[in-house]
Amino acid sequence: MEIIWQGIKQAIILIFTGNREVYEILFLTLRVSGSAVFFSMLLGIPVGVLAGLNKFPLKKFIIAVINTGMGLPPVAAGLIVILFIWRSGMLGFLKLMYTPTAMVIAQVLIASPIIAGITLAAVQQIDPKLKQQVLSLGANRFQVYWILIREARLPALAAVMAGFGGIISEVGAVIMVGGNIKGETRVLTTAAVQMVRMGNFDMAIAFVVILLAITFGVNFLLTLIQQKEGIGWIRRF
Amino acid sequence: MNKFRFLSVTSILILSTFIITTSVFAFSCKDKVKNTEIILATTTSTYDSGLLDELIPVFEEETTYKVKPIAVGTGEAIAMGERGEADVILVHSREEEDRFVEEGYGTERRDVMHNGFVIIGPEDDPSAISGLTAVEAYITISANEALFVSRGDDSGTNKKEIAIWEETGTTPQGDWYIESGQGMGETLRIADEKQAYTMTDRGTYLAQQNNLSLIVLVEGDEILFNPYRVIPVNPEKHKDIDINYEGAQAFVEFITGEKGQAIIKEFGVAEYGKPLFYPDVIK
Amino acid sequence: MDKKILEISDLKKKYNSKFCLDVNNLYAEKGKILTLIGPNGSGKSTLIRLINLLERPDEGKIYFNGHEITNGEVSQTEVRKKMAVVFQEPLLFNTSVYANIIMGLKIRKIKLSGVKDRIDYFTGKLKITDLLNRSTKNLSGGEKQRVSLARALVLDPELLLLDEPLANIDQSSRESLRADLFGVLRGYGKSVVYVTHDRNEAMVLADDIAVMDRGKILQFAGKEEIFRKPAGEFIARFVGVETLVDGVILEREGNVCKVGVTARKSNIEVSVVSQERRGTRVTLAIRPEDVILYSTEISSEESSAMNLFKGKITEIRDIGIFKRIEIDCGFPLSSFVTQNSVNRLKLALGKEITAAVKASSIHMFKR
Repeated sequence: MEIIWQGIKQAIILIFTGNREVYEILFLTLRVSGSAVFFSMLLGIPVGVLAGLNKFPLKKFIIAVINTGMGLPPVAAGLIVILFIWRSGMLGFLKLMYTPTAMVIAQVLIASPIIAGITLAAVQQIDPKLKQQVLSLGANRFQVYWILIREARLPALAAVMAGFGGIISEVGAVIMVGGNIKGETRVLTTAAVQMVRMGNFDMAIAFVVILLAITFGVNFLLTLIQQKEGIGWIRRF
Repeated sequence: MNKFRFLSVTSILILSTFIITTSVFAFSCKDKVKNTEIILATTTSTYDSGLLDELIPVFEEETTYKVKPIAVGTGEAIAMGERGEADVILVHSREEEDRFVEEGYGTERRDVMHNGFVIIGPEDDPSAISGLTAVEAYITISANEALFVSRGDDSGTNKKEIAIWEETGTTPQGDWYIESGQGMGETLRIADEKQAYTMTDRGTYLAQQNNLSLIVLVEGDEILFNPYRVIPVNPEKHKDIDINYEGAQAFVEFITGEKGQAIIKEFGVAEYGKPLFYPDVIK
Repeated sequence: MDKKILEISDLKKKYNSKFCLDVNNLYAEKGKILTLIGPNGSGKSTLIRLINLLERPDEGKIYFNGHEITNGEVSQTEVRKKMAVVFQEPLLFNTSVYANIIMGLKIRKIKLSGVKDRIDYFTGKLKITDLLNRSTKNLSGGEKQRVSLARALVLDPELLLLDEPLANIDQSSRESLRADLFGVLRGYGKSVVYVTHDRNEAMVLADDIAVMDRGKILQFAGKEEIFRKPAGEFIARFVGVETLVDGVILEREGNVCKVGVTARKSNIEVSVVSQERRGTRVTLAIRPEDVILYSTEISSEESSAMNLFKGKITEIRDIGIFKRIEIDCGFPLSSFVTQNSVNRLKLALGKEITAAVKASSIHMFKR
């Protein structure tokens, strides 16, 4: 018990005295997972919307692929990325192994199916008659997608947050492709693991506390959105 | 109509993939400065002790190279060298190292430093192994079926442990023999929780000592000698891969040179009263 | 210049083995209200979706302003931009009322500054000016449909398509919405296709009416003609004819035919204004509001073209403002009278009574 209180106290001191290592790791984590979520949105939302709103050959197959991807074990994502980017791999010449970029790619692989899948479910929930209404207002193809995405914006936002929550707390894939290099590819999760290995429990607890704070913040926002009554600013989009 | 839709679906897919790839390129520009990057595959024992955090910044300051240390077990570090995924390896398993160089994957082996393995266990030492040789201690533990935690991860420490078991002529198996499959730090904590015996390098033990109740029972035995060597990966073996051989050689020269050896000699003295590693080149 | 804004010829759309929409000829004139009327499932909504190019016909052509729009050469979006549709459900978006109302304008890239008056006018007429800043989530069904109507009206479409806009609204708010909507449409002066299954709405609103059943247009004509001269039993029943009796034309004098009706006890002769030939087998259609009841004997000399039927009252039923009286005069004949008349004539079950119907009020079609 003693060690936990000691650790938490130490953690709070580290966080509020602006310990450089802690903040470097925090910012790298946000940069990596933030850009991963951004690219996952670019990929996941259009795929989810298109697959959800259109009829096309292999639709069921593609939806099954997305759903499988939603449950893709992060370690599998890490392994897939490694096979491509290690030096002897197809993209080895890019020298992406053990870089933040590699971590972003692995996280995109984890998060984009989650975002696509939830978006897909969300747009399928939309009354198909609403699509007819948009068309009859004179909308072209892109206007239709845009308006229906806006209509599904709350679940889509939830999808993005779920994706973010999924990758920021993930450790297996990032340690595989990032290598957990201090000051370069060490993020909150891998830092916590490393600190435990090195016996630095106060640092480990500090990282875990920050991680918990972030995931709590994300989930809190998510809950607010799901209970969406009273969030005026979202309605105004 | 269907056809058009399908085309638009695929075109948007392709477009987003394009966006991703381009941004990945943009993102990676920073990381991609030609051939200044050295990937060092090393053991968790050197990494977790914190020694590399002292060595690497000094090396990077002296040269223009950038070192990426990847902490894995000795077995995996050697495998990375064989695949050309690392430029230089820092490991501690003589036999494997010899094979690695003889098969042409490494160009040379250079002694860097050593420390000793120690066998640790509960303070009351239920099997009374204190003061025995390593082989005697293992025979006693096996005979008593006292709890023993093995790394079981093909690391240098693990290889050494297995070598000692081979000397005893017995094969450890049963409920008392636990394979953690994890790094040294975790393995120490598992042994501590279970009040079991285990073998560790002295460096990691000293670093974790404050969190452990286990004490050193066997040490100083010749078989427990733990030498680390550094081996640059042979670029001739991987002609299609851009191995940073020059960087690897520079790192070898540094770590076996005056400054590197001095850092090794000093490391841990302030904190633990004695060094975690003993330099082998400049003593 | 063509007076027809919309013309449909030989349009076919097959759904399954059971249902097939088949419209030979239908058109809407500029500035007039065409009402499609028919029971649920008769294909009215499908026809609206076909006109709005939300579905493609299997065969046939639709012309808009004299140009074919079903040949795939014109942009569907461009065609839709000249129309506006209000569906049965309001189909609003989850934003503010105002954002919904201007959504079509934004989609069509119409500058809001130029149409501010129009927005004010229609929101005022539809009584939703106070709701503009509200979220659509908390509106009642009637309010939602008002917003949906405003969203279509502010577009000032060349052709307004209203697909049973009042059908899904609960009774209490339907009456007031109907009044407000009809108020807008009366002075509207634009081309409208109005779909309904309520003949009263058609009666009030329509210039022309097309009666549909099971995918086909049974009759397409001006409002008066549909109501006065239904082309068959289905239409007759649908437009509110309660009494239908079969007979044969016995003779004709000038404009007036004598039709022999086989009644339960004896044959009855009925005078009908018509040009049909003698011997034609026909059905007579008598609207209940054209049947006038007398409690006393009256002489038929009062009008040569007046048919008098005697009989007993077999049923008195409340149907809202009117009472429906059913009389057995050899065949069942029904009449709508006011409560006032019921009192005055002392109508009661079993009472002997005389029913008078003008020869010109009876419509006749061939069997």
